[in-house]
Amino acid sequence: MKRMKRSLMLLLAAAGLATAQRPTSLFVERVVTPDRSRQLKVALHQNLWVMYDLPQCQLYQAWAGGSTGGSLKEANFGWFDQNAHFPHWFTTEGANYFKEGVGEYFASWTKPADIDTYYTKWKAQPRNYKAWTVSNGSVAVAARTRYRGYTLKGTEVRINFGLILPDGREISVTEIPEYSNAGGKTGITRKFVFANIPAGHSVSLKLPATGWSGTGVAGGSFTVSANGETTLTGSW
Amino acid sequence: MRTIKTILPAFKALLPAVAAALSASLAFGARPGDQQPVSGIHPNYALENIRPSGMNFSVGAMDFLSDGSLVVTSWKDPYGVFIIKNATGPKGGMTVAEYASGLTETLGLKVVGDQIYVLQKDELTQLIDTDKDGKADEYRAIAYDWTKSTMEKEYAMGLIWDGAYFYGAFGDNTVNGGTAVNPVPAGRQNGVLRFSMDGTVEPFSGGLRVPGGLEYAFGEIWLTENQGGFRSTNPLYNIRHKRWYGRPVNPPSVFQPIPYRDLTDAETAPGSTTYARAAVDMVFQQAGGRSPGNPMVVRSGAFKNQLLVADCDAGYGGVSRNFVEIVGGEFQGANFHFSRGFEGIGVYRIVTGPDGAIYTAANGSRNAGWQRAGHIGLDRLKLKAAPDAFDMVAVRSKGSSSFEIEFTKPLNASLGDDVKAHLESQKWFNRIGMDYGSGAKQGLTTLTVNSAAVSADRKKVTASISGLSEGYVIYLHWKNDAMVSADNQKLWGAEAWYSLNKFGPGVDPVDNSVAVQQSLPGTMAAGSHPFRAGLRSDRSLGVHVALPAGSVFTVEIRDLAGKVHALRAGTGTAEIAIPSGSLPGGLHLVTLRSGSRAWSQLGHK
Repeated sequence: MKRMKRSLMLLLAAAGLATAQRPTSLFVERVVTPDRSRQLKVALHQNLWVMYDLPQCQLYQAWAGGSTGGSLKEANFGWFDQNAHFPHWFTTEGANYFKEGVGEYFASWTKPADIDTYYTKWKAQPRNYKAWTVSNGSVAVAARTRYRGYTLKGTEVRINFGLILPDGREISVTEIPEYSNAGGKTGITRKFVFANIPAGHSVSLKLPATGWSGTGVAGGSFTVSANGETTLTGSW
Repeated sequence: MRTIKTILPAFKALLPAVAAALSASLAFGARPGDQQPVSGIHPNYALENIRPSGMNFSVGAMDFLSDGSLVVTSWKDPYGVFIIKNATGPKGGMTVAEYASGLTETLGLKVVGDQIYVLQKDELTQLIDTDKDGKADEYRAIAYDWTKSTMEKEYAMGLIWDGAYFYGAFGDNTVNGGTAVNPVPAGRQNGVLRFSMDGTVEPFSGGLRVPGGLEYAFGEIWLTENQGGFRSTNPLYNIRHKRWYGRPVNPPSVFQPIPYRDLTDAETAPGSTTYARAAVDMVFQQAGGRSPGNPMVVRSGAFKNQLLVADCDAGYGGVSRNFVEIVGGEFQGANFHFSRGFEGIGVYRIVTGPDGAIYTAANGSRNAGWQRAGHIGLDRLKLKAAPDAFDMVAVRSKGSSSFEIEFTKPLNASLGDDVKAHLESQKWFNRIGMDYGSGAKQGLTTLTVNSAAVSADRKKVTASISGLSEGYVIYLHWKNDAMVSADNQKLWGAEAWYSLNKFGPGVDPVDNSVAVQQSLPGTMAAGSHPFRAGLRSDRSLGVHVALPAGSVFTVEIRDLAGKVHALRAGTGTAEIAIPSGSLPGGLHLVTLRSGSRAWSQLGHK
């Protein structure tokens, strides 16, 4: 088995594909958590699992998930019985390095009053949360986040999204997360590739928790004003 | 103490009254296809169990690639997409390989231009194999702008393409007991959503409960629903833009005309327009069952242009058949028995292959419902070279007092020229209400069959029936197994249930949707395809153009020799109608031009 795994890694490397070992072969999976749908679970290492909220394009949770990261549990809403056909809430297991509240995604035709009604009974979550912001000089512009999907290259995942400006132009962002063990501490590198940032504009990402370093990191955010690659590092 | 000696004479005295009461009800059917589900495959078809080794999962959705490979989704965690190569060939030559994995429940799949699109519960996704190694490596998010909470019973079912847009069907948030949670997640649209390739999502219709699946046929959208809250039947709907189909939620969803409450008797009476009615109100557990999957248009044989519906009810499921006709611009029609006997009891998905055969797949249900813990299956139905079944083909409304019933074969001469003695009929109407499944068979009435005249070729019967009413289901039953074909066959299905929304006569529909669905290579741009074209029921071509306001455009119809047959101009968003007489026979090209851009689509008349 070990020889087969090593052979596979050699094949992947020969093909120019990423070969980092993952705790499970299905290392990228969409899940529903007790908080939200549209979550992407990525198993980078048995000491590092991460969760993305796709509509916000935000990495908001990291935990030491071991070999499974968690398990599927029966949904429990408390105030009503759904009697679901099967357990479908992915519940993380293992200590969190961090976990931020992100906020739910609602259809674009949703009335604000209907959200008020919704939260009279359902578990309230942050409203008007924004992970990404775009500024033109010092003025914030009303950019909206647009998740575009992900690409698998060997054992690497590239998460693609766009920041759409009011005039329709789209800043393209790709994030490639990877496990890091620099200095013997569990950590993560987040490589970002930016394209189509208009002249004079900057892009900021709200960073969850602390422990981040890299060009553009300051005051709980990470800001970029030029196209190209840049890497953040977090460790805990 | 009374003894048998004193009781028995009293009982004997009652017998005539009992006999009279029994004779007032319908004759009892004693065999499959006659007040019982059919027990086997329709005799016009040959069945093959083709599930290959390696396919040990229930199916959520499926469609074919042009090379005869069948793409299926697994309806069990971990959710994946698999490609079955050589699926139109012998079972032994098929192989199964995983194409994509790590999705959420994927209950809709459509191949367009040999590209695979799946509808997950929370995203429309294109699965792309960029390096051609047989596995998807790009999971491209096409659209996701709808509200999806953390509930499991919040379905996204089916995926169809009309040449310009995708459509998916979305259910309400169902809780234990079959009603919707109150309040529903903000912005939840229990209806059909329309997706553009640029990610725009629009509510297209509303008022659904739990849809089973979608089909695109006759240039129209078709959808089945499950019996339950606000559903006393399994309706087969023709979905039209902005219509509301009767299931209210709180807060009201788009197109919902009433607040969340039970509907009144007046609102659910025949003729009420509070909600849109089914084209065919498939009766609960008769020809079909109680958990329909998707409808599928038949492309050949005696039942061409009819809609088959899979159903995963263990006792009454299988596949039933629906003839539809167009009366006053609206579809209505009859439900018939069709087939059981598939490998998987819970038949749920049905699709036509590139070889013309019909493929069915099971969802693992042991009973009605979607437990996905039991029988799985993949089957192929091939039309026999010499189909020989004796069956009803169609029931057509001919007005306020008659139906025409068409058969596959001539009736036996011994039946004479009037077969009214062998036909009985009832009517009822269906309400919908908050209580699970409530409201079926209201106002049940036995009708008088005045005559049932046999046509000269003996393949049709015109039945004159008193007491027909619009808005009612009309039940037609050939009783006592008396109907026999000229070659002495009994009827495969002795019953029909016709949803008489309006008195006919009507027009039979024709389906050319396959020809207009597939855009020309290169016209599937990354941006939206700003028009869609489809043949309407009157054979004219309807072209819906969706360009920005003020954009000047032309729509051109050209045959494949290059001759222009029609040219229209307009601006912005517009509906263009090209009369049937202006369309060339056979294939034609519809081209929209605006400024320096052009988009084209093949059509077929």
